[in-house]
Amino acid sequence: MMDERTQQLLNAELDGELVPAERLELDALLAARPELRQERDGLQGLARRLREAPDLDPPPDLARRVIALINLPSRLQPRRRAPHWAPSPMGLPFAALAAGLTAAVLTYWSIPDGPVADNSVRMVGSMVGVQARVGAEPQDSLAVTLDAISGQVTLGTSAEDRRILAFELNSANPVDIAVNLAGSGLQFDGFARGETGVDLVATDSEALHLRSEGARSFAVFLRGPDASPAAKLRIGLAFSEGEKALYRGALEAP
Amino acid sequence: MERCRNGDRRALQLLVERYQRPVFNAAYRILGNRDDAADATQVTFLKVFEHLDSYDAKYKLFSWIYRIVVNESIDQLKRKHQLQALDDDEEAGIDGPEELAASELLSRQVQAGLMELSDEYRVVMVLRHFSECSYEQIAEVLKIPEKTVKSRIYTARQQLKGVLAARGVSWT
Repeated sequence: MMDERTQQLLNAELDGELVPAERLELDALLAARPELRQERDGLQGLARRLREAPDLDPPPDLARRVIALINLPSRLQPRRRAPHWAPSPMGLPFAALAAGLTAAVLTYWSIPDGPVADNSVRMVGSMVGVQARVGAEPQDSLAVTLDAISGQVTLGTSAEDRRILAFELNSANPVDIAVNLAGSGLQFDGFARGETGVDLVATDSEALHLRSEGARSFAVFLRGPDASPAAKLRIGLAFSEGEKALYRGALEAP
Repeated sequence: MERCRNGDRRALQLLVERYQRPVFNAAYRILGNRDDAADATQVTFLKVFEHLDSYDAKYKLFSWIYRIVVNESIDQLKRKHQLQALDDDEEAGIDGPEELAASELLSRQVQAGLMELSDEYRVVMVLRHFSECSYEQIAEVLKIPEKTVKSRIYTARQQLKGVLAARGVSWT
């Protein structure tokens, strides 16, 4: 068993961090203890293997995506088209939420007339990548009534066949919301919020992660699937506060 | 940095182009997934630009950026673990080795080995061996004492040796 000091010296040598006095100390140890030389060979071999593992090329459009996001506000032009509403009686609560949300969003950034130039860009920000013509029809909804968080999440469609996941939530503390899209064929297309206090903190290949605090209205826009799904679409939702899981559920749509 | 702070988009673009490769690779080695690494890289740069005004010049720029990507990657891992616990999602496995070039195969074996380490050990290995940070730099990025860095690196190496040996990776 190697003592801590010897371990430190071997690792410091490998990392090029030995000072001259330590160099002498390690050389003396290596001369006296053959098993240390074997240990050193093992460490050096490991480091060599790690060096040989090649770097990966970032996705070719990564820089463009980042710059597109940074440039976003200046790309947007003044809105010239009034929003079109087509609520059904059943859809009135959802449409009202969507209307309020859209109005609030418009106070942030104006919306371009027509589609945003590059819908393939994943947007992480305030309000992006979607047209504001929200003709809403609720397909499913989920009510959450807990001490930590309460409110409703509604799944609907927009006039452009995008799905809209509209949140109306109230929580005293920050709550993390994971939206699981795995297997649904849906892709993230945009995020809208009426005010600060809610953030889309990350997107990855199959999930979105949001954080909300206080009384908030916000929406996630999804597109796809490209082909008609064989089964119902299912979107998983998980709410948590820090490490503590609060609630999980799912929304389904034809 | 001053040009970036002033909103010079060319300067911002140069910053992204300069750091995207090391940031992406650090994220990939921590997360083990290209798509997730791309997302973490994107969010990292957005946070960099968002907080340019609060950047403290006493820290090296790359240390600051690395700190952001490490934290973002670890946060992403936590969220993923949470989702997996809830929904039993399957992480994509490693492709069969038959069609992989030797270097690519090694890269994947090393990555699979890294993913078996706990987050704190994997992060120090990534910063030391892939990002080539010194002990001092790692300590600055992770905001931990150098002594802790040394101790973690030693333990991480011992564990990785065992994991890779079990996967048939030799280094003699």
